[in-house]
Amino acid sequence: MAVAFASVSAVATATTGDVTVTKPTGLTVGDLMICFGLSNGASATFNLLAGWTSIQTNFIPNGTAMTSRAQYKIADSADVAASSFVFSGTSDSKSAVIYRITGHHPTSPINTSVYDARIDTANWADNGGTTITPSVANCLLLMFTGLKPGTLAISGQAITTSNPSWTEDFDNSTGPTIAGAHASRPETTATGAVIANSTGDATTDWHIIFIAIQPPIDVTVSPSVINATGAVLTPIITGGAVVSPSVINAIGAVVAPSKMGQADWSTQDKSDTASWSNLNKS
Amino acid sequence: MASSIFGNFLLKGFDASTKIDLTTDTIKVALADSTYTPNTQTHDFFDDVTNEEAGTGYTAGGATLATKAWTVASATVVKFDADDVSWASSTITTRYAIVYKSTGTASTSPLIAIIDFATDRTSDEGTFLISWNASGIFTLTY
Repeated sequence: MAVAFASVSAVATATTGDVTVTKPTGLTVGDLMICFGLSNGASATFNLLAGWTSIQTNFIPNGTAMTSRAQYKIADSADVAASSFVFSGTSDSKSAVIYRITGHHPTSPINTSVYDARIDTANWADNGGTTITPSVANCLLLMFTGLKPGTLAISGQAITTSNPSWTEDFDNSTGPTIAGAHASRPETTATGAVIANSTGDATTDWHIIFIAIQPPIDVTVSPSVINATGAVLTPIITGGAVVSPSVINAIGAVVAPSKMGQADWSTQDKSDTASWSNLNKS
Repeated sequence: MASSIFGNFLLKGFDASTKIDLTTDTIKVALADSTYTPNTQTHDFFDDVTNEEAGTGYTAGGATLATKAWTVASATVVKFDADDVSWASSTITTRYAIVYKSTGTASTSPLIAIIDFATDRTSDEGTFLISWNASGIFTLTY
């Protein structure tokens, strides 16, 4: 089964304090949940939720001070039973979503990831800071972008090498601006730089988290058939004669006994022309 | 080494005490890693096979072959074939597949054939599939 995007929660925002993200629809045990969150403030944090694993996080004080974080968890029964997840941090404005992914590697879903940031940039098209190189084929790529608060929109997500078809999953401009897109890419070559465009402001400040989610690795072995040859060996012939042995016939014979009944055979005439007769008439 | 039948397959196959019925006996395929050193001349029973695979999703002794067929394929060839065999949700790194008759006891389970994958082959939480050749697992030409 291919690793695939399944659903994404509604974007949750909070002006201060915790942000509560609803559970993505259809969540079942074993699904991969990935949360992307952005917090905006002079010393903003976006905390790692207990039981989750951080993928990338960074705080950039320059320009619009922001912290972004991507974190993941393999859903268990408690997660499936929950209705929402609460992410904490400093008392700053926050935005967050949770993705639901299926068909991923069940124990090591993250193949590779990268974080990068820019300030005062209209569009994102750097020269390699966001490249990643998936080590296995058919990874699902997730591109998360976080921008300073404002009425911004993000579009045109792409990569520079073997660019697949991208689907934008959400684009939120309420509070810290976040957007996410996904694409499946069969290649294991470097992606090259991420490309994304913003509209609504001449320049903005960017956070990018770019992730490759790996599928389980299958292998098919197709061996050649083993050919074994049986042969009747030619006998070695010496002396120049062709020997063609006949079959060996074993003959069983009944051996004549030395006496037959009680007859006593003897001879009376010892001459060369003697004839035999039975003296005992019994 | 090249893939091969074991010499003792024929020897044991015609031995009344270890005879091999490729159709009705339990024939298994086991996996071993690259540290196993096959010897098709001297290795006769499964207890000679070392470094059997022990990864997730693999059961010691290997998998039982299903739909076995030991047939005359042509005027000069007899063929042994079976269904493909796989280990789902497995994490396996292996070099050799060993076909053998399983008696339930390694020391009395005669070896039949060995397939050398040439390099290590790996599954990671995925399906390890051996897709047998269209011509069979092995043939005997006479």
